Amino acid sequence: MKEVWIVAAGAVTAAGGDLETTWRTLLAGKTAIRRVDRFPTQGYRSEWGALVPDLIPQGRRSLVQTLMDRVLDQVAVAVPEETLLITATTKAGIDNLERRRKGEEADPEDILPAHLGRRAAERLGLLREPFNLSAACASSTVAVAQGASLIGAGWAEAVLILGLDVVTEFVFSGFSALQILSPFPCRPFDRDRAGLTVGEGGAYLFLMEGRKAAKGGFAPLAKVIGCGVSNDAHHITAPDREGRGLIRAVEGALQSAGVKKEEVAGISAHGTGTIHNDAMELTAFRQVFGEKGPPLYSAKGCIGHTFGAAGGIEIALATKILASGLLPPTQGFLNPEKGAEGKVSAQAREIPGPYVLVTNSGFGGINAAVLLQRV
Amino acid sequence: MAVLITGIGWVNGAGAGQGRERPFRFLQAEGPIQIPTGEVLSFPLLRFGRMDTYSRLGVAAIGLALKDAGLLEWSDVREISVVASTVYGCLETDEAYYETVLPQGGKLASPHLFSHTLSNTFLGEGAIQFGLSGAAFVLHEPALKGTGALHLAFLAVGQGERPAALAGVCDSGPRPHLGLAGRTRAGALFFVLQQEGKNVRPPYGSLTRERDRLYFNGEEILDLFRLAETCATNNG
Repeated sequence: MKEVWIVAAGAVTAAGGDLETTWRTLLAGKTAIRRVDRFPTQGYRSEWGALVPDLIPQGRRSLVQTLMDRVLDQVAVAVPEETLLITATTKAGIDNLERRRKGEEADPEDILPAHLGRRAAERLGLLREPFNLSAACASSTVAVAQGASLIGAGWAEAVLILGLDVVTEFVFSGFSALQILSPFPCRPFDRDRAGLTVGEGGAYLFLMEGRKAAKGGFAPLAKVIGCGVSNDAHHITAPDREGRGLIRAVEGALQSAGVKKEEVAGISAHGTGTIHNDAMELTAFRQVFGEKGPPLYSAKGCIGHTFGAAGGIEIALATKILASGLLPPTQGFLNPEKGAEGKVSAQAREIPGPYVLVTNSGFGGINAAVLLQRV
Repeated sequence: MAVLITGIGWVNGAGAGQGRERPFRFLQAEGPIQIPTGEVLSFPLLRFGRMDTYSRLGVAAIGLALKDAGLLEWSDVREISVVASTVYGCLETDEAYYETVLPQGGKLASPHLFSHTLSNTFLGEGAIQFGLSGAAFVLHEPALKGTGALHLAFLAVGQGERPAALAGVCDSGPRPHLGLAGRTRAGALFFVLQQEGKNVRPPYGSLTRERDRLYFNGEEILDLFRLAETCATNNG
């Protein structure tokens, strides 16, 4: 199999207009979660969200297009025209459905997820037909796994992943109706957690085949050395309490990388702050790594749950973890859930070793794990 | 590693069926969509009546494809992946859900409908019904050819990552007022891909890939609809 390098990465989140600022905010233990003022929240279970400052729709365009433009502004490398673009989103421009239903002018094309890729490919001058990948809150992570598979098999030499999702009343109301919005800013892996906090953001990850990248003068931020994707086959919205799907995904990533479980230095967990997700993850990690296990953290106490963009942002942040040797604090974590003692911390920690695992799970029972190696 | 097509399942305006059934009515989809009943499917589907139209189309076609391949029965979950292409995804359900949000400031928002406002939810339904534990995700395409899903399913099976995978298309179409209609017909069509030697039923033929293009028995695949017709003709 060919080597897969991440040669460039960027992000826009509520915690920062670029990856570096987001990373510093995360590392400092600060949160970007604020009261939501984009729409009325009185009818809902929560009033909290992590919204990108000053993000407003441009004319008839969806909010997600504005966000995409901000992410693309950060693409700091010349992307070859033969690059395959994979966008990853759950709801794309669903805000334009809301606007049209309220009688406002809004372009219906933006509602369709495939439209994101078409616009981005045009802007970047890419020749290959892009597609959008949707796998709920693991969309970006699965997109990275697919991109790495395509490069590994020699089917592509360069893949650009673009993960994006915005906070809309559509999504906010849905999670409220499912009773999984936290009435206070989320507290991943805390025993007093009460749900998730919505967030919005976007990330890009530019993957290249190692030799092609080296030849083109690109330096790797990290290597993608293993991926695993699986389905719980259990429930469409609730995770398998035994974590069997996540276990299969993590074991798949370790196996494909040829890395022993003891070698994993740290985990960027999904850590939504919902009762069942966090408990499931702790169960799965204990099953795979044993009682001691590597330290883990969740970014969602800082940037909220960014849905389809979550994996992209968290993998971009993981390149920073590898570069710095620091696992960020989990914002909102005070009292450890059973099984999180000694593994999750409100403080940044040094992590030895060159391997970091990133995992995400989502509705429809999907789980994805990506193993990264420091270069 | 040779990759075989071993099963086909479909649902559209012509009804519902498997690739080996005769007559093969798949391309006669003139009328409105017909959601198959349990009698037509001849296998049980839990909560089928509670699913949205998009999910019912997809789940039924996945079940029919597995049945056609002789893979319907299961006891332990199987490492089978599903990749589906779509244009509209669950847009029809999105609208139905949002109509529950509009009155009373969202207090009446339907959690059941919301849980089906992700394009990949129906794959989770399919995974539960048929014990599929492989990767399951949806590709959104501007126009529905379905070849993107076929490429990725072929990659998973051909590289030995999975013993089998389903690739297909699924769409229920948007309501007309959005001005987005007409890019594809409502319906679902799925193919079962298996590694050679792992199949339990005789294959329709084999898939190969050359210079970024997929071929079925040496003939280039332009879209999944014509592939279904070719497979059925081959199986005479």
